[in-house]
Amino acid sequence: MSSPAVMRTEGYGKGFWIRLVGLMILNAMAVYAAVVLYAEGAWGFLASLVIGSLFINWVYFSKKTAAMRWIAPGLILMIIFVVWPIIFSVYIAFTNWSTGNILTKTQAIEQLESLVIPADPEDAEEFDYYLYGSTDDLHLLLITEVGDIFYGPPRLQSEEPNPDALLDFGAATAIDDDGDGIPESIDGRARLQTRDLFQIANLIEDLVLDLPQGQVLPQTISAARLVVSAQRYTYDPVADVLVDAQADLTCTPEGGNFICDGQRRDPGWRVVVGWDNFNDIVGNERIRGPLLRVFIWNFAFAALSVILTLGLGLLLAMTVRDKVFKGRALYRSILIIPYALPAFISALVWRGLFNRDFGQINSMLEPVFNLLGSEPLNWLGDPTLAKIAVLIVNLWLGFPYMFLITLGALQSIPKSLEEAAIVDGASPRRAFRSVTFPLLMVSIAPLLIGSFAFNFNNFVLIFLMTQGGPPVLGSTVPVGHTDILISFTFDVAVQAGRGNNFGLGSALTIMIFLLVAIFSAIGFRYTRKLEDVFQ
Amino acid sequence: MTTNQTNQKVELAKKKFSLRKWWRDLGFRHLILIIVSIFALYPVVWILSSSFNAVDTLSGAQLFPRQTTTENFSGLFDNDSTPFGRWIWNSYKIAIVASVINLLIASMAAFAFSRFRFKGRRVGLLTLLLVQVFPQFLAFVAILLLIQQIGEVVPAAGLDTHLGLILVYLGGAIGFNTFLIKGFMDSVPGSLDEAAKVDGASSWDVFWRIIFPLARPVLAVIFILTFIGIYSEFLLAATLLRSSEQFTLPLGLRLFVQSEYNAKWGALSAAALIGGGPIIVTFLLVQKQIISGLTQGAVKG
Repeated sequence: MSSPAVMRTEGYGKGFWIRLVGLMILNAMAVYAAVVLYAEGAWGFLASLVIGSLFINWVYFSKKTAAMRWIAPGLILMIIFVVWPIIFSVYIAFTNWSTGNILTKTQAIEQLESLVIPADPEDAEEFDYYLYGSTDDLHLLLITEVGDIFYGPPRLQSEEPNPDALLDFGAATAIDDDGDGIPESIDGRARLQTRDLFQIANLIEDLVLDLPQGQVLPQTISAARLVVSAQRYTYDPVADVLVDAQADLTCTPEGGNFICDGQRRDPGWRVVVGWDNFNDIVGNERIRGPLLRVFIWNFAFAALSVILTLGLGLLLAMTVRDKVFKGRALYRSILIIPYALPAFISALVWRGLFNRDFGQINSMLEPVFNLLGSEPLNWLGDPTLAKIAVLIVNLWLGFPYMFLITLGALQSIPKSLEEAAIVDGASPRRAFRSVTFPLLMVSIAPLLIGSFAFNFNNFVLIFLMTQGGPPVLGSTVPVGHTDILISFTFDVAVQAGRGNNFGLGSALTIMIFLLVAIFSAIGFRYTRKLEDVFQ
Repeated sequence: MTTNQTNQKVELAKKKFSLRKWWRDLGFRHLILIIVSIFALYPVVWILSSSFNAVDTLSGAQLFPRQTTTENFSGLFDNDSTPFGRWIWNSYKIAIVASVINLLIASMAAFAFSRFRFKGRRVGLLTLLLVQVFPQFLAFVAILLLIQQIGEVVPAAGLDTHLGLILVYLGGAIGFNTFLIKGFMDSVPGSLDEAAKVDGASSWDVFWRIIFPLARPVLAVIFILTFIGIYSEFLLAATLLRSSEQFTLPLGLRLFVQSEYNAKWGALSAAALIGGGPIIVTFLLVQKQIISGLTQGAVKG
């Protein structure tokens, strides 16, 4: 190909000004993001932002980077959203990143230090208290023996806690004419007399005054409990230990949590845990058992899917191979419909068709059930039937592709080879089996490997049709009979409700990738051998 | 009489013979194709029939409904807990925006790899090919945490936003499509660009005014395939989108099936028809190009 070595350097034409304006906008956004990142102390992000911005400016202003200008947008997106996630996945796989260990250590300590010792109301001291105002506008005043004063509007116990309930008594206008230390009125609200209090005795028992670290709980018309909680944990940064005031223990950090006398304290933080997740996969009986089951079915599912779809696709390709007849184009259009319909729709529709009680498949089979006197088949609830149903649907989804590629490959294999074998005395069947079929396999082998890899991770079908179910009873981790590795991993890592284990999930995805890579490598080696034999 | 009988016999034999020949030649082919066609159309026919069936439940479904209605379709759009119209809109918006940008990015990169000779060109192509080996969706955990962190700085591109999801989809833009488009651009003679250059065209002019229009038919097919791919994507969308208002159609339909399946088989069929019909029609329109693309892969090996 003769193409110009370097595009002519462009001067200060239209292109230059477009670049200039574009870069000014980009740089302005970058500066804004940099300020935010700096404020948040996200140094990793900040560094990548600076490097990225410098790279973009260099590419679009330098005169030596003509080609890079065309590649940079895609390249940058690929680095951020494909390459970085791959690297990040490997890192996450070596951490304990999961529900309960999501924060950084600093954040976790902050949360722990905000915890209080929940004081037992039964042990709380009682003090005299007074109510002011009227029933719709009550204010409560409590004075302890040491002179601490708590004042503010109480709420009902059934209501949400009010963190701003406590008011500054010093700023209020208290009128204490008789000088007994108990004001007769505060801010214009008159003190309720004993007789008034008796009338609202029922209401009183329901009152609570929230304090930042506790509560005031009226018990009788004159006495209230002062329940004050204390800060439970204090972190000592020098010794890197956490002191638990309630249990009177010193806790040391270990594997992403503070451990107090053998017990773990939540929340923890994320920390590199080395090979722990991988050890869990191969060594932890709780995970290894279900995983092995999933792996075996996953492999069988992918292999059977390829074999079944190839079988039906090849049969169809043979049927239309060397005959031109009416309706061929119509048949082809009909036969590729399963391939054209988005798989998520097919999976959901088939799920309905396979429904035990309402599905059309069972109502179609009803005469058979009546004849045999058997119950309708519980397609999606029975482990074996669910697997069969999934395979049937995947056959439906996948045979058009195999039909198209085998037909294409067959048409490129000269018919004369087969005819020569027949002239030499081979039966037509033998001629096909020994001449055309091996050649066909050589040419479509890479696509079969691709199909295997695709089906190995056929998440949409499994997740939408059975969601991995029916569940394996008595399993310690949630796993179903039709779960494949990727759907199992999705449940472990992302699915809400059960807690997320990002570390284990990432380790599993890395395992899936390695498995597919190994299978593909073996497959390609094998096809190369085939090619050697038949060339 | 006898001659007549013999004649009849001969004729009968001829007819018999030809019937058998027809069967051996064509008949069994039709039989196989018809059986498999029934298999292929089975769910599609049920979708069509149930979506117009006035009896909305699964158990009431019949192949030829006694009463037809369009309520299954209109009913989809006025249910607040499953905002179907919103999901369709989200899906088309995300798929169109992502595919258009994807194609632009991919063809720009393809242009560079096809028309420029520069240091690192071979390494670049090889790297692109290598990255393709790792399917992006396998990194969904890392992508979730990355988007979450991005969202802390730029909430508009964080979790549960379409911008975040589109950006993630664009990460794969420079991959496979670049190779497809580069293959086409390589077949456009370089003398065309040189002629344009002599006339004073910049490389952007060459790309936008010469190569891009020439590639339009190829790009149309690639656009359709990219669109369908993004439209049907489930795993990453399910990882990043949280609220049902933001869902794409695959996530929404799953929610719909989980929440009210038995009661609303007719509605699901109508939804499947609206969601899948246009895709099938488009696919059938460009089937020749798609098939030739597929078989090229098979023939080249």
